[in-house]
Amino acid sequence: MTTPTDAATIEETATSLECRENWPLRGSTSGWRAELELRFARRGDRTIVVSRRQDGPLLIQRPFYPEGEGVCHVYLLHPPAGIVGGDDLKMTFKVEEEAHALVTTPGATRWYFSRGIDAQMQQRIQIADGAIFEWLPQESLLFDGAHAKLATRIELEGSARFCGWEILGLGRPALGECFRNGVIDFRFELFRDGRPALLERQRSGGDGLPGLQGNAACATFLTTNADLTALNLSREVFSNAEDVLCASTLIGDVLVARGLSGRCEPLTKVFSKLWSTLRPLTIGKPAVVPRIWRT
Amino acid sequence: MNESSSPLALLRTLQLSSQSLPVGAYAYSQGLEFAVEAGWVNDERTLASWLEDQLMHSFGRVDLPVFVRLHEAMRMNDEAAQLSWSRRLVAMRETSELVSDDCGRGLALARLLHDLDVQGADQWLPRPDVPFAAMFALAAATWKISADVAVHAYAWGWLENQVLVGVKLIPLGQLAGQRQLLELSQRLPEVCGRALDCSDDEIGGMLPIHALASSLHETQYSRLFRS
Repeated sequence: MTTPTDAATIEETATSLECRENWPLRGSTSGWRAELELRFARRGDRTIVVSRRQDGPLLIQRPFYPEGEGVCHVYLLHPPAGIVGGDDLKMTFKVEEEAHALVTTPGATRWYFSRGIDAQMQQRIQIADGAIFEWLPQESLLFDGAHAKLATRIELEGSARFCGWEILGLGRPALGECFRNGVIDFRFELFRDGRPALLERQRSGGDGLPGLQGNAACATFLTTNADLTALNLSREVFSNAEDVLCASTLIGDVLVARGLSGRCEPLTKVFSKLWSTLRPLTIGKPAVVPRIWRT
Repeated sequence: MNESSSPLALLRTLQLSSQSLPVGAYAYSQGLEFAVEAGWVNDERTLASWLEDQLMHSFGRVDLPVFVRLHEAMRMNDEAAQLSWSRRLVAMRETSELVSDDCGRGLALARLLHDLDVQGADQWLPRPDVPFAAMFALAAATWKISADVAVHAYAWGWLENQVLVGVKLIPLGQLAGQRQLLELSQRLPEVCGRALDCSDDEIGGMLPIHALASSLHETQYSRLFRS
């Protein structure tokens, strides 16, 4: 199903979790393929979704505007609510000049045990000159035995701005389950005008992800357009954070913050705090916390 | 006798990987100073495991395979590949200190090679982001040191420097330092072999705790090292 539509149509086709009924049942050997491409553009004072190409179970809810017309907030849904071996999900977000979009997810993405077949999710974000994209997904939970390849690639043009994070939780610490047997290949990459600005990649060794110092959750936060003031503010946020080991660094105008914790929640909390503290500086707008985070 | 087994190539390799190479390597701990301060590294055993993790998961998956490609690009005079791998390497540095560490040593070596009349060194001088691996590769290619030998020498240089930092900070005795070098260098043939064989898509790796140590070093109150 490929449906190029205009914004008006999309707003009428708000979707819900019930949609899983509409897709064929997953086969035992091959996973689900799904693709979603969203294009945001500025029309007058408003940022709207000007096109949506969708194939398979990846959806967005009706865009909404909790902070005025300029910033288009979108909730991204993956109705199967979990990823298994063989699944292949591709998302592309294109933000045209001067547009401003914020994308989040209503819940964690779960990567389940796989019998050796990789599951992959590729997220590609293209931001044009003068445009802004905020990428604030909830955590990816990697169950023991998952084979997860997760790649987020951000391509900036000119003065485009990006702020976002990826949070990984390994195993299910609450159940005493550690991540030991699966495969993780996680990339978080930022390019500016075709040149690599930051290439981060974490890969599992024989015994889960290396370099976590005994923790079960790790996270990386990136924002462009940052300076020493932003760096100092981030250090203040971290000095008051509990149950996390976090630190930040400034490479050119990119602030990179990383964190480790025993669980995802403290990292989500401190990164949300960091995002709302830095937003006035780097994005030029006060933070409006997505309602869905509070539910 | 192939080029890299000539006695002269061996001597050039020793000179290039010597601690006396004037590029200021002694000034950089690459996060190890913070790891010692935090107590994460406090004896021979924890130093070995700190360095082995980097060898297997970051240095061995980032620096070494990129070095092999830079060596080839220098040997073939392929400027586009030289530039593109240099940029990728710098973009894989996790923190501001690790970028300045790498590019500081890179620029120092570019200047030295220029002063030694190594052809091609001058074109790197005006660039602010020259990774050390690129200039090491230029020297190795110019002095007819093969990729196989050069990548071991590059890895040895890193290992020796890190062990010396550990010896100084933990502190450890000279004997312990030599024992660490003897033991950890046993891993180099495997890691270098992988760097020589792997595909481009396999390049990349990072240890969050190492990146955090380096970030936290930026605000460490009292420190001897620049990274």
